[in-house]
Amino acid sequence: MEIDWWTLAIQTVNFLVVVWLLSRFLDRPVQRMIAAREAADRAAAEDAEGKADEAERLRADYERKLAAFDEQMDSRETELHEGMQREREQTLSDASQEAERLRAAAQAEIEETRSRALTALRDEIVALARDLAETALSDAPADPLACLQAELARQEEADLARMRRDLSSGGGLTLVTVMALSEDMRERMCAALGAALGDVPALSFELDPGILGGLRLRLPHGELDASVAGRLEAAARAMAGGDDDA
Amino acid sequence: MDGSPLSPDILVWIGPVPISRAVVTTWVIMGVLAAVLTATLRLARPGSGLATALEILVTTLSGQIRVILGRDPRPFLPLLGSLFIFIVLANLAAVFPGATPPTAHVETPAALALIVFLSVHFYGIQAKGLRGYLRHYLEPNPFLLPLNVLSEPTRTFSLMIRLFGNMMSHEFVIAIVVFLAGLLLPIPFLLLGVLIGIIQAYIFTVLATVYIGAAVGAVDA
Repeated sequence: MEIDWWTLAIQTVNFLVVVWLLSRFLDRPVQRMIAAREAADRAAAEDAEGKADEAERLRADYERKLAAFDEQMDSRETELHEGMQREREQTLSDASQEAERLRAAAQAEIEETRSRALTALRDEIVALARDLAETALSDAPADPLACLQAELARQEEADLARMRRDLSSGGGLTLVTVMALSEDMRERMCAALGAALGDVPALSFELDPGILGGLRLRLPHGELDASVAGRLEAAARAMAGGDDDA
Repeated sequence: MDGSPLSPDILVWIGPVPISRAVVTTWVIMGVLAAVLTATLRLARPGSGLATALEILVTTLSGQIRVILGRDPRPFLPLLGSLFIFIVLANLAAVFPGATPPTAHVETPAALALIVFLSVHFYGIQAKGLRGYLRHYLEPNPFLLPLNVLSEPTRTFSLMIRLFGNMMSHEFVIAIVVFLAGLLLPIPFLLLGVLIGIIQAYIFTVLATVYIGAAVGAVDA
């Protein structure tokens, strides 16, 4: 085996050229590409980190806004509740005042109605009293003798007969008047009674202002009432009976 | 070809300079490499698949060198990466009809081993300084100085002979098989030659890296 030194030298140079070629056209460009890619990766990582920071900032901002919103919502809810409470209290107050006003108006109306009813009732009572007095006094003679004679005249014969039987059973007659009668008037009274009832036993006289007017004749077992008080009571009973009928 | 198959296959003479087949094959490889690299760099856009493939090639070589050296591989990458790529291409030239791998002739492995020998001392002196580099011949014991000095040419010689012997013997085996068995039978041997060529390139590069690493000393990258 022999070594060709020229070939050895040429191959040495050739390999050095290869080293230069690969360094020039492979190593350096690829190193630049790697550096560029790593720079791009770093930039992307920094960008991603920046975006992550931005996202974190946005998230913090969102949470802050959410907290503020919740606080605002709570505040508005509280305000709403307070407003509703105030409105409810105002409504209750207005309703209470309206009810009080309506109650006062109703009370006033009731009072007015009652007053009108009392006035009307009073007027009616006055009218009734006037009618009662007119009824009681319309045909009542002022003279006691005329009053007695008119009362005896109004009696039926059967009543007169029953009064005679009552007198015949014993007892006396009592004539009740408002004022004391004169002796002449007493004799004329006895005469009138005798004319109507026949024999008149002892006739006594009695004063009673409570009969208001007219006279009242007391028999042993009965009474003939021609007094104003009696007429009033009869008229009152008649009115009461008429009201009941009504 | 003259009588010895190991003699240089001179194709042409340029004055006193013989141009052998190995030299021409090397020029062809250099031309193809330059054309491919130029076209590749022209076509490779950042982020493209081609650029990614180039990045993978360079970063893989850098990773292997970093693992062996234990330091930043960038100062050594042009030499060691070129060694691996050139030896792979030179060894794979056998698959082309009529071409013989330049590494099957002793001048090319000798040139590569010579460059490695000089590079080891260059990087060693650059890393440690002249005195520091020369001192490492006295380690671990000054009595080992002769052996340390002797190991320099012998390991360089072994580096050369390992590559040359493997590729030359492979060429002989292919020639013998073709002579004995015909045209198609050597195909499996050619495929085996591809594997052998890549393995030999890897071994040569790794050993060169180890020698340089021993010269510069392991430093954390």
